[in-house]
Amino acid sequence: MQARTIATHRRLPVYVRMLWGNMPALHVLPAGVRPQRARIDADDWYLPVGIPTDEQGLLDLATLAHAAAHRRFGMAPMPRGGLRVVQQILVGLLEDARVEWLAMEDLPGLRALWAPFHVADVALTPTLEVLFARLARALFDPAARDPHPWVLKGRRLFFTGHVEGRRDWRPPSPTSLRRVASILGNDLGQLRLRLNAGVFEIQPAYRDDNAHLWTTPPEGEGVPLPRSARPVEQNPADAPPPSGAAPPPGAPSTEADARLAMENVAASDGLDGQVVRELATPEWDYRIRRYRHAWCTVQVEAPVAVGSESVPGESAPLSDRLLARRVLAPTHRSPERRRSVRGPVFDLPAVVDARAALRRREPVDPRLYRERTTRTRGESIAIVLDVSASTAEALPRGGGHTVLDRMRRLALALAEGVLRSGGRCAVLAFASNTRAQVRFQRLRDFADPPVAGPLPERLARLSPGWSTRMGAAVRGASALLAEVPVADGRRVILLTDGQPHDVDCHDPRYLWEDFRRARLEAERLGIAVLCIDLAALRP
Amino acid sequence: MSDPLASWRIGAEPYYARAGREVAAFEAAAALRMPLLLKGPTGCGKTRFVEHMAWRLGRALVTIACNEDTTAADLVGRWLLDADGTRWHDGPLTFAARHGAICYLDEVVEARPDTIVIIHPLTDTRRALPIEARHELVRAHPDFLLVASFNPGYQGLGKALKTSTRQRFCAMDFTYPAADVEAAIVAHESGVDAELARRLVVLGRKTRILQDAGLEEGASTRMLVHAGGLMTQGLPPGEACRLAVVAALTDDGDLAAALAAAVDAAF
Repeated sequence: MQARTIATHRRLPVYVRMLWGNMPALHVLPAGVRPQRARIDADDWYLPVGIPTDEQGLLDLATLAHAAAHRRFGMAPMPRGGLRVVQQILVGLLEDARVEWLAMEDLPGLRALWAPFHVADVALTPTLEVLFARLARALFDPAARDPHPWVLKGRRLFFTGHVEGRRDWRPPSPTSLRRVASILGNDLGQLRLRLNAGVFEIQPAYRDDNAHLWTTPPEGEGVPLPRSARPVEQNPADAPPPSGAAPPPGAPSTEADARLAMENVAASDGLDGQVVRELATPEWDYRIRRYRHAWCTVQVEAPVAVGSESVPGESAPLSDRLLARRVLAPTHRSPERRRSVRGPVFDLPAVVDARAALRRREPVDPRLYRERTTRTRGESIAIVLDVSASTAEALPRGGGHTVLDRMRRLALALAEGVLRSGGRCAVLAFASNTRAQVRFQRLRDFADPPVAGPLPERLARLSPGWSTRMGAAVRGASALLAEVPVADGRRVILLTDGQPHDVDCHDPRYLWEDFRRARLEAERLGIAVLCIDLAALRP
Repeated sequence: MSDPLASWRIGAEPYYARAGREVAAFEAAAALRMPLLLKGPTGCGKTRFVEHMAWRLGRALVTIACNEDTTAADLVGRWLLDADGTRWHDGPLTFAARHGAICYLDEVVEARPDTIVIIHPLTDTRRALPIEARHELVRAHPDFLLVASFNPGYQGLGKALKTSTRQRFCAMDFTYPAADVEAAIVAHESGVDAELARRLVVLGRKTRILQDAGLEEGASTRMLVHAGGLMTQGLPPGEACRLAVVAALTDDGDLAAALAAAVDAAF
C-alpha cells in the first residue's frame, strides 16, 4: 500500500494557513507511536499515519482545523496538579468542545466538516470510553439526543446560560472547565467505571492528544518523537549578531540583509572540473519566514577540456528544436512595427504616412512593409540542467531514454537556438550534496564564441548523481547572469525532473518554498526564470 | 453646439465607499491640475474611485486600457485614409486634453515606457501636447486632468514606470478597504445580505495572505462581488465561491483544493 506522506498533500499547509494564519511544519507520526492521534507542538504538527484515501483527506482537514482552532482559541497550558487521569481527559474533552464552538462561530462551515466524525452510539454499553464519546457528541451538537444522566449533566454544565438562537452565549472559561471536569470526574468515580488507559483513544478521531494543554507530560508517558521526524536541521545561531557584525552563517536574516548577499568565498584559476569559484548563498526558511544567511555553498567548476578535434555532437531532433523555439519565443514582442523596404505585409501607418506625404507633395519614405522577426534581440540566457541522481530514471514512453538524455538534447537545441538568433548563452549543470556542496559544472560560458563548439561532448559526458537544491541553483545562475552586460533581457531556463530534494532536508515543503523565493528574487533583478519538467513532457 | 464629450460623461453617481481622505486629496490635486497616480492591487476600487470623482467634478472620463502593444499613436492620434483622402483622428489622450476631460491611463505600466513618455509635456507646467504629425501644439483645456493607475505587485521585467515619469505625479496608495467597509461594498454591489457579505470578506482576506504560497494575488473585492452576485442568482455559497474565487485565482490543483476546503469552512 502506498505510504502516506505530507509531501503528497501540498494543499494541507495552505489550508491550515488560510484558517487562522498558522504555518506549522506538518509531519506524519511514526507508525509505532500509540495512540495514533494528532500531536500539536509549537511549530510542528503531527498527523496520524493513516492511508491515502478520500476519507483520509477529509480526516486530515478535520484534524488540522481542530488543531488550528486550539492554536487560535485555546487556553494557556496548565499544571496537572491534583487532577486524576479521568479528570484530565475530561478537561481535554471540554476544551476541545470549547475551541470548536468558537471556531465554528468564526467559520461556520467547520461544523459540516467535523460532524460526520461524531458517531457515538447511544445503544452501546456505557463504558467510560463510550461515555466520553457520547459527551463529546452532545457538546458538539446540542440537538443530539442522549438519555444518559451523566451526559445530560455534562451538557447542562457546559451550556449554562445558552439559549437556542441567541448569539451572545460564550463557552465556559478555562477555570470553569476545570471545575466542571472535576465534578464530572467525581460522578464517574461513583459509577465505578474503570479507564483502560493503555488502549484509550480520544474521540472523535480528528481530535489531537491534548498533550499541549499541560505544562508537564503525563507521568511515565510522553514518547519523544525521533529526530528523523524533525524538519530542517536546527541552527543554534538564531540570535541576532552584534551590531556592525555580519550575521554568522545560518543566522536568520531579513530579506533586506539576505537578498543578493552572495559572496565570492574563493576564486582561483582551475584545471578541468576543479572548483574555481565559491559563492555563499542564502536560503529561505519558510517556517521562520527569514533567510538563512550564507547557508549554501555553490561551487562553480572549470569547464572540462575536450579533444582538439571534438566529436561533433548529434544535432537535436526536430521535436526538441521545435520545443526550444517555443521556449525561446521573445518575452516581449518587437516594440515597433518594423518599417522595411521588403516584407510579406504592409505596415499600415507607413502607408498612411506615405499617402499623406504624397498629398503634401513631399518625398515618400519607401519603407512601407512590416518585417517579422523572432530574434531574441541579444538576450542572455543561462540554461541550467539538473543532473541529480533521479535524472537517470527512464522517461515514460521514452523508448529507453532517460530524463538526462532528453535534457541533453533539449539543452543543445536551446543553446543552438539562442546562438542562431544572436543572443548569448551559458550552459551549466548542477547537483547538490547537502547545502555545503551545490556544484555547478560549466559546459559553456557567455563569453564563448557563438558556435556550439565543445558543448555537445560536454553534455554527453554528464553523469547523474546527488540531489536537487533548486533554489541554490537559481541563485547561482542569477549571480552569473548578473555579471553579464545587460542586453535585451536575461533569463534562466531550468531543465529538471521537478523534485527539489536534498539529503539534509526532511521537510518536503522546505526546498519548494526556497525555490519559489529564489524565483521571486531573480524576477526582482529583472531575470525571468522558466522551469521545464522533463519527466512531464511528451516524448 | 453639441458636446464632443457627451459619450464620456457619467450620468449617475457611481457608488464608492470612502476608505480615508482620498476624495479630498483628489479634489485638491484636481484644483491644481496635478496628475495623479493611483497604486493598489487589482480590484480594490481604483477605477471606481476615478469614475466617482469624474462624476463628482462634473467632468467626462476618457479611459485608456494600456497594454504592451499601446503605441504613442494610439494615445496621440494618427492619420487615417478615407474616401476623401487623409484626415487626422485624435487619439484619446489628445481628445481629452483638447476638450477638457479626465484622461485615465488604466494599468499604465502595461504600456512600454517609451510610449508613456509622450505624456510628459502634459504633466508639467507646459500642459501641452505636441503632435508632430500635424505640426500642432495642443494646449490642454483647463479642465483636463491626467490620472493613471497600476498594480505595484505586477512590476517585473520591463514593467516599471520610469523615474522621470513617476516623479511627475502625485501618488495615492490604495488597498483593500477595512473589513466592515469591504463588506458594505460587497453587499451593496452584489445584493447579498450583510452576513453573507461579511463571510465573503472573511474568505477574501484569508486568500490575501497566500502570496508567498504560490498565489500571485488574493481575491479582490471585485471577485467577492462576483461571488455575491452569483449567490443572489441562487447558487449555493460554496459553488459561487468556487466559480468566482477559487477557479479564477489559480490553476494549481493543490492550491485550488486548499482554497475550496477553506470556502467550505467559511460557509
